[in-house]
Amino acid sequence: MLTNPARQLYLNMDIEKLEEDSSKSNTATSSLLAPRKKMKEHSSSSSNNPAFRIGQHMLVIRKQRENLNV
Amino acid sequence: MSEVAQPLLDGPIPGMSMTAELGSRPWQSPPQYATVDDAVEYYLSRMSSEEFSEQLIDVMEMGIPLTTIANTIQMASVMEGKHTVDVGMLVIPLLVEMMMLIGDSADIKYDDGLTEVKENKTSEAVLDNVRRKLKEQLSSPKEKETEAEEKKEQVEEPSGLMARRM
Repeated sequence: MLTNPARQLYLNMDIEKLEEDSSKSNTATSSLLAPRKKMKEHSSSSSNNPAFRIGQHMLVIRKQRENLNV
Repeated sequence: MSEVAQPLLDGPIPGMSMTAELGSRPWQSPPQYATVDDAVEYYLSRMSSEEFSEQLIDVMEMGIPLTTIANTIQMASVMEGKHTVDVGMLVIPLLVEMMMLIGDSADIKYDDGLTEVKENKTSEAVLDNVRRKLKEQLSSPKEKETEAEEKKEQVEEPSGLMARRM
């Protein structure tokens, strides 16, 4: 029986993959005729996902750890 | 310290949740921090305090896995009504990461609890602590010798009527 889910939760975060996703920058199109994001797409963005936001916090802390260990 | 699955012998008995007035427990009322972001802010500010990190380092040196500590912290907060169980689950990885940072900055060896559980094997963190303490003891034998000499000197003189006088 699993009494402590912490290990599984930590391993499932998969921050390395998150880093790749967050590094992809969307090319901003600012012209008037540029296609705008639909509301449907906007709502499904990863920043609305609380797990994603936690992952971003973890990335910052992990970078600090790496700096310490260097 | 290995984490072995144990039977929940101290679990609640059926109907136990109905023995108190509904809403009288902290976790039955709306949480203090409703969102993950609020909970993160609460934890980060709490964990960055010096008092917390000192206590945490003591616990880490005892060889308790960080995953166990993280789970205990979030469970306590749920019971205090700080946040809900689902927010607690989301926050756990961040707690583990933060504790790792505290451990690394204090330069101590700790058990992160992320490796597979190996039964009947003492964790490396515990062994390291024992080695370090032994080294400290062995490196200062002179101090012990002086302490022993002092004790000998402090031995009281016999005070009976028939005792020899010096």
